[in-house]
Amino acid sequence: MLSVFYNGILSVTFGNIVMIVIGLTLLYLGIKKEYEPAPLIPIGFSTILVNIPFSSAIDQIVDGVLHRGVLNIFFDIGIITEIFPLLIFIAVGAMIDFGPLLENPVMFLFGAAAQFGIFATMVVATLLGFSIKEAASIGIIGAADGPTSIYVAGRFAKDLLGPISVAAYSYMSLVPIIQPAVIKLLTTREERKIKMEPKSVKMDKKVKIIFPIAVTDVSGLLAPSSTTLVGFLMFGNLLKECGVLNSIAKSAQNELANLVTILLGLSIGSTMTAEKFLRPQTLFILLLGLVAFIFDTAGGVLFAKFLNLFLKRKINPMIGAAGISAFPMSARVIHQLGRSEDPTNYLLMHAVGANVAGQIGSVLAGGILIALVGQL
Amino acid sequence: MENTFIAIKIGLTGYLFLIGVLFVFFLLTKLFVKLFSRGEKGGKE
Repeated sequence: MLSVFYNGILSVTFGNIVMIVIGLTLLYLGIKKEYEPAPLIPIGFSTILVNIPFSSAIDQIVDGVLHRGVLNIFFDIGIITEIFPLLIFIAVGAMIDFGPLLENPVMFLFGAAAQFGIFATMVVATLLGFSIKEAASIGIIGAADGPTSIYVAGRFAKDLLGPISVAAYSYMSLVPIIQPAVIKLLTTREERKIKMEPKSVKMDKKVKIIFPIAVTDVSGLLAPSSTTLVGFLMFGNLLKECGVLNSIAKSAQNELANLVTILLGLSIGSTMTAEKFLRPQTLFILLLGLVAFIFDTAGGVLFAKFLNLFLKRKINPMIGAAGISAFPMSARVIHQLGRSEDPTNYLLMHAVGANVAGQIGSVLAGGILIALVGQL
Repeated sequence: MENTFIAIKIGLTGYLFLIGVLFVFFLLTKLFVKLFSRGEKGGKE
């Protein structure tokens, strides 16, 4: 009878201990280092929950009867159905101001160019033995956008969801380290000093209201598979911009974002079991995530340099790197890097424009990947 | 290796298509802003 109380202790495996240490590490990174704490703390804590032997937080079969664990239920209702990442998109959309992009629409091009890492990493992943669907799910880490990564991986490689999410959020928090190194490698000091004139266009409110509707329609017509992703992002933005739903927009920015982030993090943690996480593939995925961020940054910078071959008014090539979706961190990093080269250089609004274009680019890329890989 | 060739094909198609779609957005937004914006601050209205 008493064995009920010590069975758990006797059943602890080496894998459980390693995973609990990984969970504690994620908690440390989130709490002490403040690296993406909102997703990493729930993921870290649920990693501990699922690695306690016979944990009631995950599914257990007792005497041939399945006892459902709440974390698996969260996973089924939120990730398998794709509801949690989509709700996060509403929240993200409600937080974004597309004004800087509307003032400088050329930034759209960087939002596309800086997604290079997604596609390049997918190719590298196949060289390491991953299937096409797994490779696409790993490549999407380069979207620099947690919900998009979860959305695509949830569809193509559920078993890899844990390491993919950890890689996506970890590298997003490492943007201030990764991007400057790659930029400095690919640009000269003179290029980094290029000044860009501020664009100040008085934007009619109508433009900001029509924009999310138009983007949804156009992207839906050109790439129907991206309709859900882009649509939810733009719906959130419409809530913000329409001007008559301020209270709902604020709820989306705060309550919805916070609640779903908790549930999303806990759900992802349910996949962080020793047998799923402690595999050589996990190490590859973490490395490939870094490769994706490096390729993204390089793609954006090199595209800007390519455009400069044809432009009279040169673009600071660092702006290209801000075309990733890590918002607003990437824009801040580029701005600060520009100021460190020339304190009078003010690149922030240009970088923010590229950065919000990256938000659209990353969700579109996710939709395109789903369409191309899904038909295989 | 066959997977890699498929990935290259998907990667190239996807990347170029993405650039194409966002290029369309660029053109449409430029046109759209020209129609609705009220000129540059401090510039000629």
